[in-house]
Amino acid sequence: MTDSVTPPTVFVVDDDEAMRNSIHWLMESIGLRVEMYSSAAEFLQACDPQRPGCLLLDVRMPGMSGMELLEKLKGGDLRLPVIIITGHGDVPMAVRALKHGAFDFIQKPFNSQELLDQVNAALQQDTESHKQRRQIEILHNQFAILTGREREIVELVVAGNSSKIIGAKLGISPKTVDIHRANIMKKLNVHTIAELVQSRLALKEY
Amino acid sequence: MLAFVGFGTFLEIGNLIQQEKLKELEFSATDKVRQIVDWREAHLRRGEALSRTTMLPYEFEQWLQANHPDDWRKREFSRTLSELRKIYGYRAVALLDRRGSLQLSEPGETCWTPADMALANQAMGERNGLLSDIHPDNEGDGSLSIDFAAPLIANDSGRVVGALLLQIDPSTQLFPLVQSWPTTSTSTETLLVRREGDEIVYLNELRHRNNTALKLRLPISTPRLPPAMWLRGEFDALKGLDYRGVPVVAAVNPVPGTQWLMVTKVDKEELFSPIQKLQIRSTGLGLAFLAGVGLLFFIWLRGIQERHRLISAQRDAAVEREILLKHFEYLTQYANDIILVTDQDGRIVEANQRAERSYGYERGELLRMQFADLRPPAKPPSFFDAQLAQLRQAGESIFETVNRRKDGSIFPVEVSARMIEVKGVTYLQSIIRDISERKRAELELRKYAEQVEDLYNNAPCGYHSLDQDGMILRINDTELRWLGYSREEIVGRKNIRDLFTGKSTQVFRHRFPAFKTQGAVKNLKMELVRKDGTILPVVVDATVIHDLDGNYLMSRSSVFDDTERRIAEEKLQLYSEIVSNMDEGVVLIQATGQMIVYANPKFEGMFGYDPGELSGIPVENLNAESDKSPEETAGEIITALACNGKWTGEVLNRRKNGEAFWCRAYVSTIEFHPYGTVWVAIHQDISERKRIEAMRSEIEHAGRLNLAVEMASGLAHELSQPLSAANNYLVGCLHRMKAESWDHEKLRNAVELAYNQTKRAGAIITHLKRFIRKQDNERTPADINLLIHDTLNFLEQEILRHAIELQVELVPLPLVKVNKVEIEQVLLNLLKNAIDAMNALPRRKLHLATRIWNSNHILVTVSDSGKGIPKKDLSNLFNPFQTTKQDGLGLGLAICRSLVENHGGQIWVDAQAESGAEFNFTLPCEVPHD
Repeated sequence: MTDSVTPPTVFVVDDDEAMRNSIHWLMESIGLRVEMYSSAAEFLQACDPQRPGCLLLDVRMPGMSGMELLEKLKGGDLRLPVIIITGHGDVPMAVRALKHGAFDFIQKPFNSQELLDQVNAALQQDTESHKQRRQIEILHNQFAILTGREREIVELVVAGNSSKIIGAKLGISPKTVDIHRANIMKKLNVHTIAELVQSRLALKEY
Repeated sequence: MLAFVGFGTFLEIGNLIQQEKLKELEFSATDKVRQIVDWREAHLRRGEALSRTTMLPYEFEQWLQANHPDDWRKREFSRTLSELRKIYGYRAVALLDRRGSLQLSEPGETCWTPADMALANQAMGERNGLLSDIHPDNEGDGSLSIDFAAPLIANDSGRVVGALLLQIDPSTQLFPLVQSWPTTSTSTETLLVRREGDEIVYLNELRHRNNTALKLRLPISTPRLPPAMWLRGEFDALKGLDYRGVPVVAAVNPVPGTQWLMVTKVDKEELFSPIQKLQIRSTGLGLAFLAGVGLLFFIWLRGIQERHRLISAQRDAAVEREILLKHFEYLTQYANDIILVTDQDGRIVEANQRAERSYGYERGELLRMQFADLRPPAKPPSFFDAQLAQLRQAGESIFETVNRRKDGSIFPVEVSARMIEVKGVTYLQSIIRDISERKRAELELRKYAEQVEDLYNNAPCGYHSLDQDGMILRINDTELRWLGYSREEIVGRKNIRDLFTGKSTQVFRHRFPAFKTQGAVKNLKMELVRKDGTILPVVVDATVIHDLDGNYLMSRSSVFDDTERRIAEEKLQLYSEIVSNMDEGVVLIQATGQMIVYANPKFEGMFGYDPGELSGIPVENLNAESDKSPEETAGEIITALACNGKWTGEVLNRRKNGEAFWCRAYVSTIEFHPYGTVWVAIHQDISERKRIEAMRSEIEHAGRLNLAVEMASGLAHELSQPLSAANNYLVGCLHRMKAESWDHEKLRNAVELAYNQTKRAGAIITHLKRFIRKQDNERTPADINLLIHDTLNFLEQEILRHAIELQVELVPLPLVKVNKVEIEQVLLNLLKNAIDAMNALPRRKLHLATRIWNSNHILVTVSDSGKGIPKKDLSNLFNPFQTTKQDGLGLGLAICRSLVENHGGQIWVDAQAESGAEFNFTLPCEVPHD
């Protein structure tokens, strides 16, 4: 529940040790945290899908290939952006990877700076999406403490009804409606009707 | 008076002699006529014998049915004819078929006239032997012939199958009978004439005039010509004048069965010569008496008359006796048979002239001999005695025996012996006939019969005859041998049904009744079972023999061993089945005219024709134009077939719809009866194979061209790993060094790691180099010219596709020790570059040459007519990654240089070339060891 305190991590899955170590050295040089795995299976066993960061995935690996791992992750709840590293002649495979939701692909031999730039971009996107997810989570929790009557009134307010009409619809006085509205605003930590409507729409449904 | 009486007496005696002579004439004439009739009848009988009693008609018919082949039968007929001719003394003999056309003639050059043929036809029509009249011989040399025709009548069916035509020479056979005259006479003559219209034609050569046969003709009105008188019905034997006009006494007798008249005559002058003297003498006597003692004589007239009457009577008796004696003498002396008279003791007491001639003894010798002396010594005397005793008992006997001549030779005789009694003494009178001629003829006939029998038994085919139930009546040795039975086991014991297999028995049951009424069956395929149970396939021809009422008498079957043919037939059927079902197209082409005479279903299908549609089509219709014209291909095939009888190769054919396709063809020649020389061509559709081959070569080609690309790709992948890693380390270092302070130790470590990665990249390349070298390091002596050919073959498609004009000038080269794959790679690269360089240019000429360079190197030159190489590029042309190609790696020439230099050679490009590029490389020759 803490707000983006966890620093992002660059997860590297590559069977070539020299490649892993050199990427580690490169990432650390700009202060990024790096975790290294020598195979897809090892990564799947150890990783926590909730942790922010990005995944650098080598396509050609013994055992489960990079593509298989990508497809498996996208079927689950992993939200990490994935950068695919391909060798010469693997371009069609890279295209396939993009279609399967990879963030980007980079071709060996690559320019190290280019790799760093792409990792930064991926991390930034991950941070963004983490922020959004956090926000919705908060809204979700706020809405969760509303009473049943309060939720009815929120829906009617969002639909654009005045207190008078809401009161008439629910068979209560407009004044009682106003009291409920004040409670709702307080619980949801919003100050204007516009903010209330925005929060509700951001949540979409609950 | 006396003279008158004398003359009267003389006349009377003359008349008497004349009468006697006439009697003798008539006797002889009748005898002659009988001889001629006998002669004719002998011929006719002989003809009948030949017609009916020999195998000749049957064999002849068989032969005719077989389309008179030149086989053993023909030779047999010729032999029979020539024997007939020899035995019987015919001038010529011929065999005619039923329609009267000549089949065989002996001697072969004999000329037969239409009249002869007509005679044969008439004889066949009448089913009887016929003798023609005497007529001039066909040869026109004035000689005469009588033709004799005898129909050949098949024994069984009584059908006339042909005729025998025999030419008789009358001058040797008939005329001697006519002309011979038994007594010595200067004028006696027998002659034959016949009437032709109003003329009398003399048929034989005359005694008193030459060249008369058929030439001397006298009108029937000639007043005193004896035959003319006879024909006019006013014959007087004593008044005749013969053809010379000389007075003759004549007898005329018709010869029965002919148009001939036999005239027997003697000149009156000869007849009266004995009484001529008497006439003169009596006239003189008469005159003397008349002059001297006429009166005295007159007184004794009556006495003289009386006495003369007595003398006359005595004379009559004497003359009569003499005539009888003469007659007997004539009969015995001139008889054609030996006449011997022996007494009781077997001594010869009388022998005639014929006996002298036959035995070769003088009459005097004979009369001193015993009858037994004429027997061959082998016969014991007791045999003779026994025979004699038997003869005495019976009075007469006729038997055959052999006699011996003076010279010791033996000859067969027929003896007709009779006991006669003369004045109380018993004699044995033997009339002995020399029958050696008859015996010889009999022997010939028996030999002939034996030959025929032998022919029947040992013919190459089987013969048998069946009764109406199928019981075997006769069977020949050949068939018995085939079946393994003896004659005793078969004849009269076995029914033919017992000898057939079940299937054949059914056929027999089904067909035999019809056969008995229809009369013949041909080419019937049957199966006989041998005694040992094995099966003998046969072909049967059979005919029915009917009796005179047309009832079935028996069958006569010819049986042919069909084993070989059936095996051959089955084989043929098998082969035909194989050919029909073969997966290769088979076509038969008649060599002359090159027409298709047969194509199997596969061939028809292959070429898209309907069944049978190809027959009669010229084979050139099936040929398509390839790099050779159909005529060239045909010429090549014909030459090969003439040389070694077969040809194998690929031909471009055309289907019915015009589509061309490749076939592999195997052509050979055979001799096949109806068509003469025939080509057998087996076609295999190889269009699919060709297509696959082309495809495979394309793929292989592409594959080999891509090898370098593939290798480069793999190399790139391998190198990218360490290079990327090194890059990472170094960029990582750079970032850290931006900070104010950095951990020296860590950085040094990272740089070292980066260094290690670059070393790793280097190692990969080294490893790769070593790998390549290890792979193809084998060097063997090779002919570079051959490598060039191989490489050109490999690039053939490419060269064809780009329509490149190829010029190759190779000189004989010594062997060079090389790695073939590497040198091929060099050639391939250079050629490929040359081809690419000329791409899309109007002039595309590729030149390849080899020669000896600096005496111990060989030089290979590859030049093109492309755009050439810009001067600026010349310096680093052979460096790696130098390329002008869009998709090239720039490794080709670099690899070429490394490969050539590895071999101790050099490679360079000739900048002097005016147009295009000229690449040269050398390879050192091996220095020959001493």
